Amino acid sequence: MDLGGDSSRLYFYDPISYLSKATLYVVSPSSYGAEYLGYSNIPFIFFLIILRSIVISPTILICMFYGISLSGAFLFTYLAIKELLDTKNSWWAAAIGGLVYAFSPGTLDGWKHVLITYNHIFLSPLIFYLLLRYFKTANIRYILGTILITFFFSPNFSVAGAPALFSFYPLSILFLIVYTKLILKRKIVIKHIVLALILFIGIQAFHLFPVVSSIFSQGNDIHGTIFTDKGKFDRGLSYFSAIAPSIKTSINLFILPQMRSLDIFSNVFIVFPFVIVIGLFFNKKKAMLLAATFFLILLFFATGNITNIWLSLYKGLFTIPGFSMFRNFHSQWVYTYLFFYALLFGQAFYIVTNRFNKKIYSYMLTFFFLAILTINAWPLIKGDIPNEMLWQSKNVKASLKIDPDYEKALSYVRTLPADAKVLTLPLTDPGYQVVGGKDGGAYMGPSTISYLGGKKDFAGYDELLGYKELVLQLIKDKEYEKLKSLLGLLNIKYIFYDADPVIYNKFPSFPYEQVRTVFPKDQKSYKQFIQELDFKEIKNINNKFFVFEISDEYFLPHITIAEKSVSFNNSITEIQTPLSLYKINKIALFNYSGVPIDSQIKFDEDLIDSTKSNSYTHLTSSIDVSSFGFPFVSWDMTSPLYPFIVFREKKELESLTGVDQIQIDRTLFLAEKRIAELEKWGKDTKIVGNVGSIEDLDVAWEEPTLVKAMLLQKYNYWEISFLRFYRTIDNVIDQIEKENTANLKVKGNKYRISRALHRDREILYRIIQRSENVTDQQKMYLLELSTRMFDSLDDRLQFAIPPPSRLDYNWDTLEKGEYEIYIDKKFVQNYNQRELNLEMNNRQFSFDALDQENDWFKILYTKTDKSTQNNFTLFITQEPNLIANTMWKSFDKLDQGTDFASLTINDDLEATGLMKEIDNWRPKTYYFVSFDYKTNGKRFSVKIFDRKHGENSKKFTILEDELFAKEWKSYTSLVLSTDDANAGFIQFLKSGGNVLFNQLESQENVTKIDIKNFSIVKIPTPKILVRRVNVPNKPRQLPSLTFTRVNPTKYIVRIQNAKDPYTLVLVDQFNTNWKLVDPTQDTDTIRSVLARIVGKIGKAGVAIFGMQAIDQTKGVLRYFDGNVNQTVTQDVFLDTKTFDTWGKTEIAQYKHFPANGYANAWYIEPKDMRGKTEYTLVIEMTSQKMLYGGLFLSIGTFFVVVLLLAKTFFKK
Amino acid sequence: MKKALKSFLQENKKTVLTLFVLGILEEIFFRFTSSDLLTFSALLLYILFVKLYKLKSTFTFLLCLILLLVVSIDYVFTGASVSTEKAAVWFVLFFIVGVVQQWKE
Repeated sequence: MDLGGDSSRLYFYDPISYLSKATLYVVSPSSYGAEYLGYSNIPFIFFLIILRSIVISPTILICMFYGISLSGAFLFTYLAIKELLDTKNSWWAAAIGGLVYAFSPGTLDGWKHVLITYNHIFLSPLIFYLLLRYFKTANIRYILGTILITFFFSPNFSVAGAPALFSFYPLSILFLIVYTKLILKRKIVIKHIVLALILFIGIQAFHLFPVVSSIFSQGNDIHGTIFTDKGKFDRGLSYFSAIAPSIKTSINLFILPQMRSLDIFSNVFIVFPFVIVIGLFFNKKKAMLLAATFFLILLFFATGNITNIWLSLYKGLFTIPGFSMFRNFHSQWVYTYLFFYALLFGQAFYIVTNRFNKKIYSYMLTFFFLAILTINAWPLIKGDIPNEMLWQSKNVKASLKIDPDYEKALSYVRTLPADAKVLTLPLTDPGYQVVGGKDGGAYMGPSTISYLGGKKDFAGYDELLGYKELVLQLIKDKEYEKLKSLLGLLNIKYIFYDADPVIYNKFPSFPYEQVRTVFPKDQKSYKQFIQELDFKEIKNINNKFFVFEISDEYFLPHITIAEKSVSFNNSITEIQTPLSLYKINKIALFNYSGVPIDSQIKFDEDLIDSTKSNSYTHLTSSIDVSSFGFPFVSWDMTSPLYPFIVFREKKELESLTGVDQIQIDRTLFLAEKRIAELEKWGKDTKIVGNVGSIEDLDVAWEEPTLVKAMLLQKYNYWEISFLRFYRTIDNVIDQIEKENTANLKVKGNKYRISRALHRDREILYRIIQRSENVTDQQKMYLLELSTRMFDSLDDRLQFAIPPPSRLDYNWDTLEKGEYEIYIDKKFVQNYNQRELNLEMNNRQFSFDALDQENDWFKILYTKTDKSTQNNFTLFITQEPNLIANTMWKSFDKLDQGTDFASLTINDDLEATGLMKEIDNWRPKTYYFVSFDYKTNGKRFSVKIFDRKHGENSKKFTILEDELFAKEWKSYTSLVLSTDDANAGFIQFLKSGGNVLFNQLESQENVTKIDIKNFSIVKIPTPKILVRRVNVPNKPRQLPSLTFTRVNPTKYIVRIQNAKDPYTLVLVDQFNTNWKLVDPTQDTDTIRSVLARIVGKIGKAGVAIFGMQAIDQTKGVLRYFDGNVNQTVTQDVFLDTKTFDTWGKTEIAQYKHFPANGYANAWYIEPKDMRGKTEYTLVIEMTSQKMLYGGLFLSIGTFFVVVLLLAKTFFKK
Repeated sequence: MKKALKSFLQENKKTVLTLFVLGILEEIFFRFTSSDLLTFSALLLYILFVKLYKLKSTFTFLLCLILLLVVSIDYVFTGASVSTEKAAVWFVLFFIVGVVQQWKE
């Protein structure tokens, strides 16, 4: 059986565990435990539990379920066509129609069932048929039956199933209404429709209510996707625009799969649309015409690319909130399209076959289509789909028999006592787990440790979120102590290691591609790596599956009290800095990330990482990657809507009045849209042809009015695009120059624009040279025009970057008070006393005389007044020149000395250029490049690229600049090496390499470049921290706590000895729905009174079913000398205590903040608990309450529907 | 003038319609760019012909069959090429006209 895939099919294997561990709660069973929508699967999994209890074997269950769904898809399409034909002897036409739906090449992929929501492939025909029967008979039994079915298949009516839901049901119901009114000429019973709607909402309430609440909660992911521009346009429209050109109308007409290489047999499918057209040719029935109309509507939605007008309208639909769910539009619409295709085809086939005089022709045609569909579906019929090999594996089958040893391992994991997380090794990239089968084959999908074992685990590098790079770095640097401390901080107590060679060695790339660059290459070295980590082995199952434990000294329990709460100005990826300062990981670190927190929260310390806030970082940060990337354009310049886009952009540019990096990036992004437009539509763009320079055009050209722009397509010229680009850049330079030009920040901004222009220049040259429908002469003209434009802009941005010999730190914004300044010892150790000087407030300091704390030098600093000017400066007199000792390599004529080089290019040689390796190249490091040059009127370019040592490692170009100078000129630049590079090279070469380009240059001089005073130095980035201790000197007493896990959404915490304020930490993903409740105190609001009444009813109801709360304590785990204790229990979904917190008071509501990048923390003061020192708190995820309420309503509605259905039979 | 044009068109129905079809084929195979202006103008012209010649939906579906034949042959030899796609779009547009005509009939 194949149990893998994106959402896995583990529910077939062990539905009971899947229900209890991964379905009943609103918290994700894996990684950090984010809010989760898996509870919409509850009825479906419950349904599978019933089936599983009948059939026992999961293999039989899968076969039965898939068999029913495949035959259901055929059967209900067949029945629907038969109903629409409504004539005798139409069964063969309906059967062929049914087969078109079930076996067409477009649907075959869906039968892999990789997502739970793929049940819609058979569910849609089933519900369509039931509703068709209802509209034909007005018998409410069909509606009630439909509602019951939607309950069991509720995932298909949840957020996850929304695209299929909205692509099928609105149009199908419209079809049925029109069919009833227009063709059957029957009345629609409105009361039935209203009743159906109410019952549907009632029965789906358990997942609809929480989702509707999320949709209207600002800051929620679903809300963002539906309502924000980012969700609608960046995620929605951009994705749509990217794939729309690849979806072909012809392929859809022939019901073939899109974006695939198709075999020769697929050509046979060209006969299908012929049947439809011939059928319509002879058609006399409105039912078929109605089907044809809906077929056309769906063809437009499933294709997108039918005329530019439709494409523009389709794009316009993305302004509707929620429409971005159709960004992958073809996949979302194709099944509905195929269903209506089948309905139309079946009817057409009936007409065509009835036109024959002799029956034999009908039989032959039926046999022909039957043969095509059967041959096409043969791999599915004979069971090849589950026997496919896992993607990118070395012949490992997707179907497997679960290894009994693995089942033992899973059982053991379930019994692990600590409420802690698991790290699953070998770690994958995306969070998949690979598990080998007993007789070959493997499972690849979401972690079984989470979904069946009930332990939140990290199976993939991506699941580590903000910590993923840090974990890789620590492993790469073999910093295993720091790694353990970090794992402990993430609440990881256990390591599950699968030593099966199949699951690692037979997967050379996916799902281990990224992690394998750092983690061991094979299982043999993996074992060695785990030994080096020195974890305590607590379980070994046949030397195949191992469970290890991390020592308590590193481990942070699920709920704890922070020893130190710190406000840190840097991101969580820099957590090693505070960890190395404090040498403890029991901290609550708050990183401001745009979410303000309440001023009542008092942190023990403020920690400011000043590494990147020295004067020189204004320059180095200017080469950071833009936040916006290169633009993607959707509207061409001839579109009637284009002038409106221009207007919108103009308004946006006017709003960008500041000169910070984000605003500059946005301006550059908007300017670069002109280049992106020329890249996409250059071949259809006109050329004026007589513009002398863009500056001249700037004087002459005025923005056209809206009408002129629409009618005369005034923007559709190469020169106008150049000009609009030029104006945007020119304007932003003006704004920058208004600031103090001596300021390094201004220089940094100029440098950022200059870098972007160098990149844009290269892109535009390439676009011009490759542009279709443009003659060589026009290309020469455009090249010359653009070169002059870029040269002119470059002239405005010229300045020499100063060498990194002085780093000034500015702490003027600090409040008055006592501070400690820390300087990283590792940095200081790289220099001798002569090379490194420290000056603070005009006083010189010697590093030998400074205090030391852990890995840091420490200086005390008092700021007496907020307005006090501070100066803190590091002077670095001499950084070594990294190219001083390496030799030039060249294919051309080279003359070199100690401080100069002269390269003469021989045009006959293919290989060309001058290259030097840079000494001591380090990853993620900034370098300063400077030299003087003369190119004798020819254009050269300088390139710096780096790579990892090794023959086959990938080369990254990190700098590419054009050099052009008739006289000696200075060049300065900054570069940042790539993440893994340890070898860097600089190369000078003749630019252009193109006949057109060469024609633009002076032909008189030889092609020659001279270089002197060449230097590349590393830019120092010392780690410097400023620390302020806020708590009084007297030692604080932290309370002790004992916590009990009721279930993953509820914890009872007993606090003792809480005399001072403290910070309580819950190591689960931060979510404002996690609340801290005082169960002894009632809230006096109407809502709370109502909640208490509902809670009491719930409690009484639960008691009737004998679900009394019983003490299930299985022991106590002690941490930090008994200051934190965990009572070991089993999870309880529902008992009489479930409703105890309903209507009770929430405490520290506004003092809840994200800690350590992901966890929940509450700052609790004695006044929050009315001065009590010993008390009990409940931490609970309130969305779970909504689930309880919704489930109650859904189950109630379910019984109402069953009763109503029974009544219809009873009446009869 | 208007009447003269009308009578001229009516007298030369076969020639006009043949030229129209040939025009579409020229657009499919000999033009490398597609223009909505051209496409919808041609469609509008066809709708005028429908009115003028009182063409039935069967005629439009016949035209659809020709276009479908073009799509199919082109698809077999060139795959989903630019010309195949242009022919497919023409087919869809005429199919819409045919369906609308049949509703009216």
